[in-house]
Formats: sequence, structure tokens, C-alpha cells
Amino acid sequence: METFAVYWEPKPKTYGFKEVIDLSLLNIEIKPGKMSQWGLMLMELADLDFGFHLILAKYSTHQKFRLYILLEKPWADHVLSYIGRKIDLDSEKDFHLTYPVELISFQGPHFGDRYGIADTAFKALDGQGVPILITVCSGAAVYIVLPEKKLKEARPLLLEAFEVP
Amino acid sequence: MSIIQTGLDKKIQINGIKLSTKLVQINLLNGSLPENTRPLFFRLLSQNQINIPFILLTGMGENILGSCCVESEDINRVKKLIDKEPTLKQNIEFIPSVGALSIFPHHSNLKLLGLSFYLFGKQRLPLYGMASSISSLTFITNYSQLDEAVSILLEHIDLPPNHAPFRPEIHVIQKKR
Repeated sequence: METFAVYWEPKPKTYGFKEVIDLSLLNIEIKPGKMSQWGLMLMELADLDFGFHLILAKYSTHQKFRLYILLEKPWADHVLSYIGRKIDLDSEKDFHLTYPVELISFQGPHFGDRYGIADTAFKALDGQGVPILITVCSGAAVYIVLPEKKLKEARPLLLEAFEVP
Repeated sequence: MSIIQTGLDKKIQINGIKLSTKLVQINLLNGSLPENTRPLFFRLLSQNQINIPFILLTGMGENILGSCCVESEDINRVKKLIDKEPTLKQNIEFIPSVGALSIFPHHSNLKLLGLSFYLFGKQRLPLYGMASSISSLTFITNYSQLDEAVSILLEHIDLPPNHAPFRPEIHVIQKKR
């Protein structure tokens, strides 16, 4: 049996914004059949004991996908050095590092269950000269990755669109 | 690379596994997608009060601009909306009957992701998307294979005593008064 609760507010409330600058974004293409090999490498990398800010894997085609890891620059250097020992980075055309990038993230009540949250964020930023590198809405959280120096432009636009405590 | 080196000999302790209801994945193809197509897609769904519980978008020039999931009960409404917009219709593909499996907490560490990739890759479980959230990692795979995915994980992951993977029993929806 399902229970339905009704929830609506004119301006979506958030629990506050989190902002991080000077991050590195690793972008790796994982080819078909290579997922388990990358899994073992990621487990070894975990032993370096660093924290990521965001991870996503985007389906490409035919069981290929792209893995994105957003992390602090010094750790990105460690990860690159580790991966460089395992694979030939020069021959891997599909391995990219973007630096610096910036992250703004926020969460709100039942964001994962409510329509219009992503649209509210996009409406705030579209047409304002703020290019978005990555958007993730997962669970009750929204993550927006921006190019360098764009966070200061995005912040007031998002603050106007969402209610912040 | 040996199993002992990677820590696969020890089970990882987690706090929970959550499974979604049946979803449909919508892939937004990059192709010749005009710049205003993404805003149009999200505006249409918002105006028609259709929730999108999972979204991954990148602006980094790949074949697929991004993907999102909607509840399977909403997909006919979504298709009707898209059919009316030729630019959207040409640049969208659907993966029917997918489900989301969320495991938590990830502690911002790559171990749980690495283990999941290793196990899903070894078992050739299809993966259509994955993203971290505040504490969880969410994987999108075939809805019919969610239970199989859980079994694969539980060989190397421990849940707290008396915990089992769960599907939410309360469904929250938003409606305009």
C-alpha cells in the first residue's frame, strides 16, 4: 500500500549552500569489459584515504561510460600519478583533467520526490553567461560544477531562485 | 593485482541498501541538439508536474549529453510531451524498465565505488548511470536485475544486524494547491 503526502512551496527551501573552489575534475572513459579492472584500481586508490566531492558515471553507448571524479587538486595529482603507473596516459585519448573547477551544492526537503527543482536551478543560470560543466540531482542533493570564477556569478542567481535559511 | 592487496578478502560494513520503484531512463543525445533543448525538456516536465528523481548532465561534448530517470507510471505523459517537440523527439532515447540501487554511506571514499564496479563488472551487470549524493552511491541498472545486484554486493558487504535492503513505502509527491 502506498501513502501519499502532498507538498508544495512557491520557492524551494534549501538547508543551505555548500561551495568549494580550486577543484580538479578527472574524466575517464571506461571501455566495455574494463569496469571490473577500474573497480580494482579505485579500491587501491581508496587506500590513499582522500575524500571526493562528487563522483558520477554517465552512460555513453554500448556499455561504455564516463567516470567523473571531483576532488582536491593535490589528490588529483596523486590519482594521476597512480593511474599513470597502471596505464599509458599519453595513449589514452579519453582521459582528461580539468582544473580549476568550482562546485556549488545544496539540498532540501524531499528534493528527490519533487518536480521542478532542476528546472528552477537551470532557469536561474540559463541565459546569464554561466556555463554548467556538470549537474547531478541524486537523492535530496543537487550538485553543479562550474568553470573557474563562475561560482561568484552563479551564487546570487541561485540564492534568488531558492530559499536559504 | 591480488585480492588481498585490494581488500576484497574483508567485507565492507555499510548502513543500508535502498531500491527504487520501476523507472525509465531518458538519454538526451548530444547530436545536433540546439542549445535551448535542454531547458525546454526540463521546463516541459516541470510544467507538467513530472518528477525526475535522478539526473546526470554534462556539458563536455560527448555523444550523450546526459540522462535522467522518471517513474515508469509517468513515461507515457513524457512521451506525449516529447512527441509535440520535433527537436526533442529526434534527440532522445529511452531505456525502459531500469531501477536505482543506493548504498550508504560512502564516507567520500572510493572503496565502496571500486568494490561495486569490480563486482558489477565481473558479473556483467549493465550500468546505465551512477552518482554520489551526500552519503549514498546510486547505481542505475535493469529493474529486473536489482535483486541480483544486491546478492552480488552482499557477498562482500555487510549490513547491520536485522537490516535488509528496502523499498520506500511512503511515496511523497508535490502538487500545486
